[in-house]
Amino acid sequence: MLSRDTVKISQVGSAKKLVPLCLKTGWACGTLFFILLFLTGCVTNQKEGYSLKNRIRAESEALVKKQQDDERQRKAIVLFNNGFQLINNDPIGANALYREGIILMPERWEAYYNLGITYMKLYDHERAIKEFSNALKYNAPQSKVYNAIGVTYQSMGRNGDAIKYFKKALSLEKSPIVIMNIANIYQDMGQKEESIKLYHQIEFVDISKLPLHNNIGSLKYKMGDFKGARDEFNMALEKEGENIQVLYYQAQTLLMLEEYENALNVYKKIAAKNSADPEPYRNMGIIYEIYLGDMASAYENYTAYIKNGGEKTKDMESWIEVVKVKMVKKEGQ
Amino acid sequence: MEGRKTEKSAINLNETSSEKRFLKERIKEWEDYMNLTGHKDLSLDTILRLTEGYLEAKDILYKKDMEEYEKALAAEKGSLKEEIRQPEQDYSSIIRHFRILSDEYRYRKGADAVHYALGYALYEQGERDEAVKVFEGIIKNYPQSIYLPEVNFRLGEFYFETGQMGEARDSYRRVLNYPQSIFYDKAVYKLGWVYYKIDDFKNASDLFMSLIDRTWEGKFKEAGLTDDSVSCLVMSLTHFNKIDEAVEYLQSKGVRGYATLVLEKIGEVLTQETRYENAIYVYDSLIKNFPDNPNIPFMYEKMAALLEVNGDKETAIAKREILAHQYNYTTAWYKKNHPDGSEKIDSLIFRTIVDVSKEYHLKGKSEANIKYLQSAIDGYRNFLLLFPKSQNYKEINLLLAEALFDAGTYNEAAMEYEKTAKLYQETLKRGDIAYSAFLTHAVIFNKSEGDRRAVINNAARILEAYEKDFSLSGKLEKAHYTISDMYARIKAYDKARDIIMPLTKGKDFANAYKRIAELYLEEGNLGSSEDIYSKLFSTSKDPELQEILAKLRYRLGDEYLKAGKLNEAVEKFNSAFTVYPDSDIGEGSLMKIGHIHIQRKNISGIRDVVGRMAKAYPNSSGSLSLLVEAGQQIENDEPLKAAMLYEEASSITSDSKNIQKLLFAAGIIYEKNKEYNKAVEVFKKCLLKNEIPPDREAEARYRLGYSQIKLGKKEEGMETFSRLKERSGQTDNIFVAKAEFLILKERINVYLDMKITQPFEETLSKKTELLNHLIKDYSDMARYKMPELLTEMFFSMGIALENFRDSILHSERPSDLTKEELEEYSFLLEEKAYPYDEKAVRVYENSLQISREYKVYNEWMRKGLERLVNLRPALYKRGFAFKDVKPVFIYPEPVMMEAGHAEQRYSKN
Repeated sequence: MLSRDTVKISQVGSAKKLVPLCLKTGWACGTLFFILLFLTGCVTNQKEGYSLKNRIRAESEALVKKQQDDERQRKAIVLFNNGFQLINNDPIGANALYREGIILMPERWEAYYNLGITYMKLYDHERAIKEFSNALKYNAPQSKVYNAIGVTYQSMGRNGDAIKYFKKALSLEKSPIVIMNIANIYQDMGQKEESIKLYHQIEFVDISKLPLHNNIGSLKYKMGDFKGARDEFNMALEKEGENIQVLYYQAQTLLMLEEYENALNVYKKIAAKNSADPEPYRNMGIIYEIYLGDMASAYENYTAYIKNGGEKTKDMESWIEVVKVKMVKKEGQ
Repeated sequence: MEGRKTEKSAINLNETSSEKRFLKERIKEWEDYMNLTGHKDLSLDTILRLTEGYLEAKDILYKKDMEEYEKALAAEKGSLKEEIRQPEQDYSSIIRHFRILSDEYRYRKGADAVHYALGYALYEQGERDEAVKVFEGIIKNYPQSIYLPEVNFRLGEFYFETGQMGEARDSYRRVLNYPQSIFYDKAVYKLGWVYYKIDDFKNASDLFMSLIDRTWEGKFKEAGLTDDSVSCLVMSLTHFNKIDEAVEYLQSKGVRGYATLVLEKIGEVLTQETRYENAIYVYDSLIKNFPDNPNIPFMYEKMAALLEVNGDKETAIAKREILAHQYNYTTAWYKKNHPDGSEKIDSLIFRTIVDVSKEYHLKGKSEANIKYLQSAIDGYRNFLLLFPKSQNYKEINLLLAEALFDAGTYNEAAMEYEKTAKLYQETLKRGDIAYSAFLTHAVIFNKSEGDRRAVINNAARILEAYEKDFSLSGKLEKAHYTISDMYARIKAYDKARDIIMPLTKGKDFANAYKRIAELYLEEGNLGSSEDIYSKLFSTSKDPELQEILAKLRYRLGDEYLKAGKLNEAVEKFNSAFTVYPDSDIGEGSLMKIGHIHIQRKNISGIRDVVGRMAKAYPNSSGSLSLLVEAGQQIENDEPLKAAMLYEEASSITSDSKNIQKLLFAAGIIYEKNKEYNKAVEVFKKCLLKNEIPPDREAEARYRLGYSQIKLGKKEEGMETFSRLKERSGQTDNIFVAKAEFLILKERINVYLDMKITQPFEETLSKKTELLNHLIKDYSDMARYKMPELLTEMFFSMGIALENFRDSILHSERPSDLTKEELEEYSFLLEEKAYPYDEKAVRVYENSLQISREYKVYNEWMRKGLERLVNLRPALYKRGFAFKDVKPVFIYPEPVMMEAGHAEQRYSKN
């Protein structure tokens, strides 16, 4: 940066250089003198002259800086956006983009937050927590960040810490998401009463996008209330969309309730959705063989289990043999 | 002066008497002269001159006598004096003398005059037949007589009066040969009458018209006869067969200055004769044919009136509209025909516009027809334009506003109301009109959508401008409420309340507060609303307020309930009950409190509410339902308390079915929770009830027996089962079957405890016998045809067979056997036992088969399957693959950058 004096000297210098040019053009000495005075600031207010030129320069510098900043920001935004696109399917790629973007544009909390998410997805929980904490330095919504940290601790199995952060989030905002996450932790910890109480708190909220019934069903299943679990899973499938995991839970709840035919139907649905999983075939085979006495179907399902890469092939082969015998015996009858 | 008057009247008297004397002298002179008849050849000329004087004198005297007579008659009117004789003209002298003369002087010059005089006298004397003969004699004997026009006319008159129309026509016609005669016009006129009398209206019209033509506009005008002729022409024309023929007739005669007059009069006559359609036709023709007739507006009015009488209101109104639009002072017609103006027409137009517009207005309003209303609006606007200085201006302006309102053009209506209000000085009336403007804005508000503040501002402006007038006309409060309502409708509740606030200091402060409370309520600020209602009710004790307050508190309770603030909810419901206990709200409130206690599983609270319910609403079923609901709520967690509540509930109902249900529910809970004493007590209660149905009785006995056995009172239990077994004919009752099962269970326990000892054969035989009986008795249970029992039956049989197998295998060994012998012995026992193992497997498989067939997957199937897994693992040991059941955590979703703080989305793990 130039000082005011430096600017003044350089201005005088530039005025002197103009003299021969003016003589060549034949201007009168008086006029030339006036021009000199003008350029040196003697005629005009000198202070204003300085400040004008100074301002122009400062503005010019600011403009350049702004253009550079803009360019940098533009690049950063492109990186962030690309990272956003990759975050679910390619967390490593997203992670690299976010880190590069943060160097260019370090003041955006969203970048740290999303970077934290990439670490979560890469199971690097410690770094995830660090980035979430960084997001807080740039005015990230606290409740949101505390919830993210809570979820990370939960993934680490540090339920106490998770609860601590979820409660911090809750003290700022009564978010049904946070309430549900705490309830889930209580469920995992076997504190069923606390868990159910929290689930009830969000029963009247619009939870159409939250898996409340699934989670209550899961809790009831663990409590041995299979009828209650069945009802909750039914509601989950009805209101929260047909999720394959819920279908599995529902099927095994029906087995616990000895509703074998219903369970069979659910497994059929699962097999239709995810035919590569061998386990449903195993369970269907057992239902057919033992509870329905349909040996042909049992045979088909046991075979499908092996075909789909079921691990317990030895067991299955022996069961297939038994089924064959039972089929022959039945035919003999 | 007095003296001069008397003198003057004396002179008059003298004059009168001298004139009379003179006249009488003339009469005397004539009589004297005529008395010479027969004695002397009298000069005919002298006779005629004297006769002329004689007749003149007679006539004057007669007139004087008549005058006196009339005076005397007037003076004597009402008195009872002697009757005054009316003077009579006496031509007998002249008749007497002239009869002689007519004969004697027949052939003399001037004899026609003698005959004429005789005929005249006879005619006047009433001897008309003889007079006619004399007149006819003149016509016959004196064809050049100057008296012929009069003679013929008199003959015509005679024949006309005596109904001899043919003769009359001929006589009058003869007069027409003397166009210069003074009798000519009269003859034409009378001839017209003759034709009229003989229904020849066309000829009559011709004659009357010819007479009018001659006398119209001063030429040969005969005073009185022209008007009469016009009337007669009109009369004749109205008798034409068809009125259009009459009009055509007139048209065929060409332009006549009096044609419009005649047509107008025809119209009037036809109207008087109630021939309205004809009259309308005539007026219509008149308008068409004489468009510049200055009276046309009145013709329109007359037509409209006739159309109305005829019931054709629509055409009438249309005619009036034409009148108003085409003949008002702004039209070319008016300027041409009434360049100096016409008050009459102006007045007619004035009346017509008002009448027509009002007519349209009424019709439009009653029929809700926008077309008519628009016509009314146009009419009112036209009036205001044409008569800006009229005294009725403001009244019509008001009507315009009303019509605009009725037509639904509210903005214009509001404007016109306001304009009218400004025209009125009187505050009361002005207040009413301004209030109409105000209400119109309220209507605009109701009809409009979007931002309606501007409408409210307009209404508020009017309220401010006419506040005093509103106050005088009693509309001020209503206006305040209306604006408040408008603010409330746009949810500006603070403003709505501010508007009403001044009214809280007035007479009707209670209603103002009430409205404020309602506004709080609408806003959802139930607390503030309750405060106001509460204060109002505490001062007025108004039952309406009582109900509102109770409902409000009930609502507040509900709000607290939804928010999970149960203590506050209880408090509100309590206050709702307290303020209006004798109501459904009160009862509902107690029920709500009960439900809250149920939710909290607060048994003492529930009991308290039930007690209050029973006291306040002895006939209500609320207590019962509360107890039942409470029982259901706590049944899982605190089953014994639930059972107690069911028992309590059974004690407060008189419905036997409900009692049974409740006692059973309680008994079953006691039984499940091993409170057999209480179960026994409850089921005994059930059995004491007379109205218990058989199936319920069977269940009660079974459960009673079961609990007795469980209490260790086997004998009592067995006795109970025995009584139940007496009903074993009922193969469809599961409890009878179950009782049998329990009895068998007692026996199977004895069997299972029995060991096979030495002597082997003997104990084996005993156990075999017991087994066979058991198998047989279990097999008999199949008669119940209950799959759920069959599985249990097969399982019990399987257990018995397995026990037999084990009993053989573990039987006491003879003590004297060597090791080798003992091995041999054990081998033989195994051989003996093995078939029972096979039998047990078959029995369990049967149980499984029953389960598959009847889809009965119960405890006994499960136990049987467990035994099969144990006995034949290769065939039956299977394990389902289960997944760990975990809750779903909500993971944070990445946030987008460009949109700033984008909404957070979430994914499930």
